Amino acid sequence: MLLIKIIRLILGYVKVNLWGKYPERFLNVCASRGIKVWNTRRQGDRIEFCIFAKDYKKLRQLRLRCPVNIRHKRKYGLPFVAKKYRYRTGLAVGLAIYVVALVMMPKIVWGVNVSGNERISDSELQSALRNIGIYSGAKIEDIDAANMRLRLALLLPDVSWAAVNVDGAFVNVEIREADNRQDTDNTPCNLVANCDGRISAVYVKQGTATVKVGDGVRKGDLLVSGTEQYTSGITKFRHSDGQIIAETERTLTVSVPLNQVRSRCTDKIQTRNVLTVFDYDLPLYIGSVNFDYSLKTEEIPITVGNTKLPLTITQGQFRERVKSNYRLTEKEAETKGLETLKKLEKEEFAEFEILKKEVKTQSQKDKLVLTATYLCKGDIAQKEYIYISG
Amino acid sequence: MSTKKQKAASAARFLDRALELPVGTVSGGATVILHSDREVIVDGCRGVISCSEEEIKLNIGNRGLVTKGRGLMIKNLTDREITIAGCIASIEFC
Repeated sequence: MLLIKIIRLILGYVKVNLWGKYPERFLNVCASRGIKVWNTRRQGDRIEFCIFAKDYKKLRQLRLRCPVNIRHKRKYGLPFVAKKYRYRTGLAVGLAIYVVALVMMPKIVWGVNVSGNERISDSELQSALRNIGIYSGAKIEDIDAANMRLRLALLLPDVSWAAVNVDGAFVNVEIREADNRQDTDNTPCNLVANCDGRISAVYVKQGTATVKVGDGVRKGDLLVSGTEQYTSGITKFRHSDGQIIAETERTLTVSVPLNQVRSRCTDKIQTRNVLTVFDYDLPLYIGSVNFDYSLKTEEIPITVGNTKLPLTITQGQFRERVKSNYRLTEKEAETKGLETLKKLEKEEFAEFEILKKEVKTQSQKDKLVLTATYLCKGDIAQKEYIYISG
Repeated sequence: MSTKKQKAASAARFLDRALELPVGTVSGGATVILHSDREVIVDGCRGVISCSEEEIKLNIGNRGLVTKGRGLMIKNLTDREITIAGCIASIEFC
């Protein structure tokens, strides 16, 4: 009779002590008035019994008919607990959130697990999945696995096969990437110079070379022609391919201000937490950071066993940063400028061989200007497509 | 009991016997169900006369029903039915 006990606890009941003349008669009156009485037992000169909380007030009226005394001994059940905590709204809100979560959570996607991607980045894949409707917080009933896997393959051309499986509250997406496709570009094109230079070697795979070793070319000059004209009058257009190696002169300029600003982190740190529920951020703090700072964030996913919940706490450490001014000497500025030049060389001349380098420094009002002249050797050919109209 | 009531009761008992119905169907007696020596359910109880841990006396109409034992308690009480639980030693009609 566990169920009956649960019902009694939900409705609330009272244990009552009864004493006086003919207490049994009072029990009979209760029973005849439809008041349910249970667990009645004699305790010395008293009778102890239980009734529902809603019936307790009725006992007062019935007591007038019998010469007995009634006193409640103990109260049990939900109504009394609820009354005790009636001013604690947080508990009620928490309970409401719990019930809503209990009802809603099984209908929502908690997380999306992706596997099989090597070239396609996770963020790119997640973005594509979001576009087709697979994301944390989406309704599970809206996920049409068969349709979505086709849409994903259409959206990402590098995906050759995809599977979308709903596993409880999680969606597992497995993909296979297409093999690296060979360059099948056969569009007719010429090769032109992307900078001025002197040709030092010509390697043509397809097309007709229009320059030879030792020629000087300017930017935009034709190097390899994709047009081939036969004696019969027929003109054929080809996709030119090859390498035209040339020595080119290039210049890089770096300007280093002598007045510099240095920022230094102090020991003052403020930590702020943000709770992310699905895609919604809930700040767990009040107020804002009132100083110049450098921010370091750490994401702490909340897990139960191996299951990752759709909750993440992002902890941000705001470290105060103090700026101070200082002036570089010319030598320090030159060292700094040379370091910057080295970085720029790596970026700009990655595909070139540097044959000669000359650096000139020029001191101006509040800055030092470094001008570097390079003699480089490398491929200067650049495709230029032939557009045929009519 | 008045003569009228006695006549009605004897007529009801006669009908029970003549129609071969279970006893009390027409005459309206109490039904006593005993579950081992742990629980007794009395359907047709008209009230509790006395109640103690050793003895519970019930009104079942024209007679009384006394349940004796140890640690007796009224597990459930409604206007027609009573359930007595405990270690039941005897049930007597008086």
